[in-house]
Amino acid sequence: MKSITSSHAAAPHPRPLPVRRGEDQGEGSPVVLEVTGLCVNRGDYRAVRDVSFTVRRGEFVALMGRSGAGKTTIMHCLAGLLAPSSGTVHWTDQCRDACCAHLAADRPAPVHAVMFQHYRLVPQLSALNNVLCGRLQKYPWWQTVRGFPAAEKKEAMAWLDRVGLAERARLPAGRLSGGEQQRVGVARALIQNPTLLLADEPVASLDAETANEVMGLLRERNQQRGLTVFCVLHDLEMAERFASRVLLLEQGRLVYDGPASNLVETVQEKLQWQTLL
Amino acid sequence: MADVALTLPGSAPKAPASRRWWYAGLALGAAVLYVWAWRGMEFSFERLAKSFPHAWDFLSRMVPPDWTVTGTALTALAETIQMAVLGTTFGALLSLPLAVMAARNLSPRWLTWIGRGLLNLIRTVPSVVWGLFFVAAVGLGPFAGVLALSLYTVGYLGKFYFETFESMDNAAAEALRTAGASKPQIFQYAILPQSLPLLANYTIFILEYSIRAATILGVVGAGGVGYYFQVYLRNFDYQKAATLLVWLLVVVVAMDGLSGWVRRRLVEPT
Repeated sequence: MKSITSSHAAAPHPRPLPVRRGEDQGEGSPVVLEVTGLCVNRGDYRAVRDVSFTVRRGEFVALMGRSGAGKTTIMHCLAGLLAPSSGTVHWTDQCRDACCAHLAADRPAPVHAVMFQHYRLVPQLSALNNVLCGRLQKYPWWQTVRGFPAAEKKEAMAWLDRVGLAERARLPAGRLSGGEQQRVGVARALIQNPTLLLADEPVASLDAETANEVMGLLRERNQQRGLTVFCVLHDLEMAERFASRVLLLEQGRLVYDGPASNLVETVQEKLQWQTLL
Repeated sequence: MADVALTLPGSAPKAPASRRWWYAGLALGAAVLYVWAWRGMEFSFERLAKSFPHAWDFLSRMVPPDWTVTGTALTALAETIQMAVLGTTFGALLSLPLAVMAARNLSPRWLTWIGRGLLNLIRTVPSVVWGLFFVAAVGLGPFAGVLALSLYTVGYLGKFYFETFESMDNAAAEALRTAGASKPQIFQYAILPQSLPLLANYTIFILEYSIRAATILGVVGAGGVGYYFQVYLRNFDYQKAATLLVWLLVVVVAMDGLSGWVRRRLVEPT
């Protein structure tokens, strides 16, 4: 299995690659996400530098790169948790840019669901209630004060069953293992029935078998329901197997945007693979 | 080979000069504060030495306790506990919305100023003054005591609660926000569940404290064991007062043990 090392060992600075825009990636499908000139500065450090790409409906895109390359920063911008220093992020009919950063504090419309690197579950709530939290946007607050309707609970149980956690539905999330919490996060994201799923390392805490199951579930939703998946992955083999397209970051810059199958050959032709991953 | 700088025990690098001046200033300020406090209290070893016979005389009059007032003591203590339980409960219920108002991560800045201002105002007034106020307003008895305790506990519980809300990990709240949850929903499903063990912990602590505070309130006529305590002392019935103290001690120790046990259970990791 090829996997990405997170080492910051001194590597020669990679020569810039010509960024290949997503060719044959569902050109006829509508754009669900458009990022233009995205820059994020953290003090003097430029975490993300002039990144532009579009994601079309039904694509399965893997964002890859070494640790510190800016993957999570980009994900936070796409999720609306971080305002970009410059550039714009468009989701279907919404826009968020550096000029309207206050929008990040507003209630986002439920077009996209987010899976976080560290799950971000409420440890005191049961696994079932954590999944149900994905349905909060459907109801005004006064309707959820006393809990959720039975039909919602049934659907949440079905999702927990899909990720193999039906028997642990009543346990507090804090008592589940890391892998189980990650699967609860998957269920919480998918129950939102989103157009676009933003997943930051969705299988980082899972063993190989469970990781394949979860990625298989995402691909099934992608192929059968047209769910657009944009996820951070560290495993090249997994990216090649599940993603239709890979975006590769290096020091905050987008250095590759193309089919997952060509990634190794393309990059190896240009520079040493290990310097990027 | 590169040079390696070793720091041996006892050779720790010195703090910068500005830091040393700051520590010296702090020490000087503390010294001035203690001298000022010492002079203000007119402390005298001579007076302290002369006081021992009087203190011994006072204590010896309390022994042995007069157990004939046990019934009265237990009835009054029950009233004190009732006052503390109701006062703390009403106080906790009032504290919750005030704490939400005062928490910076839950309310706009202008509202936090109002919330914190109200809590500071309530906390500034001592419990005895609240007791006198409500005795004047609603008359003698435990009802005045419950009202006084309710407001008194709001001052402290409100502060404990909003500091708890502000110290919560924001990650889960952000996750719900990205899922489209509204602010009240984020409070109910992310902030409150995470805060509950600490909120309960503080509330039980205040309940335990309220039993002692309720005793003092009785002295100003707000019901409970404090009322009988001041009556016995005024009539020089020191042995009866001693009986009240013994039973109060039993209740306080029992509450301390019980609340400690409950608090440990609450803060245990799930």
